[in-house]
Amino acid sequence: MSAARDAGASQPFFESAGRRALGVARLFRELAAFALITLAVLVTKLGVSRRVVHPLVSSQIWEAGVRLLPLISFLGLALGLLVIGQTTALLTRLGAQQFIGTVMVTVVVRELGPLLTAIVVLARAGTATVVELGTMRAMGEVRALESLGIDPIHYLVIPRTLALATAVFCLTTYLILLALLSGYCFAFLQGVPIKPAAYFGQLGDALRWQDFVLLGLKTSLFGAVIAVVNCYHGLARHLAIADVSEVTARAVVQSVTGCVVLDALFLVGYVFV
Amino acid sequence: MSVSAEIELIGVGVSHEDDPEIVLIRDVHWRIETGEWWVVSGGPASGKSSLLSTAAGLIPAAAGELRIFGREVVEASEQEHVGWRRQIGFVFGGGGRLFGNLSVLENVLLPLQYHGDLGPFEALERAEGLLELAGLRAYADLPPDRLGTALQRRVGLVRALSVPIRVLFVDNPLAGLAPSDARWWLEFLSDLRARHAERNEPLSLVVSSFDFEGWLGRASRFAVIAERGFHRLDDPEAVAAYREGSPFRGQARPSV
Repeated sequence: MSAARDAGASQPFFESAGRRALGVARLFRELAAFALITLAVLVTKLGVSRRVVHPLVSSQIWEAGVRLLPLISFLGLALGLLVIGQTTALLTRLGAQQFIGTVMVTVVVRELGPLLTAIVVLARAGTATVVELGTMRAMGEVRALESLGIDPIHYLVIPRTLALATAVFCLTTYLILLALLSGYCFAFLQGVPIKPAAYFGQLGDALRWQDFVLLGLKTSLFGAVIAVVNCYHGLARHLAIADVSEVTARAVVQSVTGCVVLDALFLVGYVFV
Repeated sequence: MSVSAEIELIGVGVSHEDDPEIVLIRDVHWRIETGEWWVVSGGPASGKSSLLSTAAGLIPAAAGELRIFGREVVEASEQEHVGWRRQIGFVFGGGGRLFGNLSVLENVLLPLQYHGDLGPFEALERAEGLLELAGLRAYADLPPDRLGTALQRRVGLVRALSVPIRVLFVDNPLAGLAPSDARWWLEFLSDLRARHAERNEPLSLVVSSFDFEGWLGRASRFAVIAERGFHRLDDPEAVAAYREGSPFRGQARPSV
């Protein structure tokens, strides 16, 4: 009797878990299809309508990249003070100065810098993309583009994807440089006895050529993931005003998840390459 | 052998623009021949806009067969679709669905620049010329939301005309207009059609409207959407007698 009751109670749980799993699988399939369509349009229409698409890419880089420079500068300085300055002081006190370079490259260059930048870009440009494209679709402007023979993916998604990929890469590089430089300055101000040549020498020794390649690849893909996920949510279905906040929150969660999963895959790359 | 129509709908089901599940009009048989001027009338929410969007190939047909320039739409490649889009102008109802982040001039320039048929200076010259023709030159640098709905709709018309077209769909151009604005539309469309005829490039025109007032004597063909069906009116008396909201007593027959 009790076993039967347990089975009865667990049924809704399995049903709801199964439904959720199917929902996630469907979402993943739709996102993958959207990403593939975007890639196909990017490849097939690379040189098409440059007079229209290039200014769009530039304006998106301005919005998602240049306008974020003050915030990224602040975060770079904070990262230098909070993480690098303290870590350098701690390692020096423990007599483990020889590990400064390795710790900095692992923490700042490979992990913290790219992820932090991606999250900032997502907060600034990703969410704006959902609202912008969702409004365009609700106002019928996407249909108007189609009526003029303009491919909405080419006009709306490609510029954002290229711009966000470029922006995340450039901002990450800037953040890392600023954090490493300011980190040394803060350590110096705390009286840590390490010379600039030793500090930067250790960083140079810890960096491998793979770090530059994987950093470029990873940050560009972070930008592309953010763009594709947010454009998908803006364009996929008709959004009522009441839906916008919920869809935007969902897009943020999925973008962060996508970036973290991608980061984990790159971890494999760092280990084996 | 019959000459192929510009656009042909054979047993087409017309669904709502935002919800393909909702079928608004069933079993539409409609042939739009070269140079014809159609006026399709129907009450509010009867499906006029969706019918025009479906005929223009902007919304997939819920059922049946849609042929554009003699080619079945579902069999056509993406290249063919883009080719059609450039030959079919569409003026949306309401405020014309202008791009809010672009100025009036940029809205008109966009298709010219995107398709790259003209150089930058020729494109600008053409866009400014069209705005002048429509009495919109003074508003060229303004964002669309600074214009009233009537003027926004005119910009939508100019944008649709910026590239050379063979067929023009205009969705409910007279809705909510002052009599002087309504007269402007009627005269502009008549002149446009006459200019195309003079150049020996006949323009097929499809307009939707709440009733036939103003269009009688200008348009050549009339149809009504009623009882979820598309009804061609061949009898001039039936056309003259039709009023929006009145019980439909026209001829219900397939127009193939």
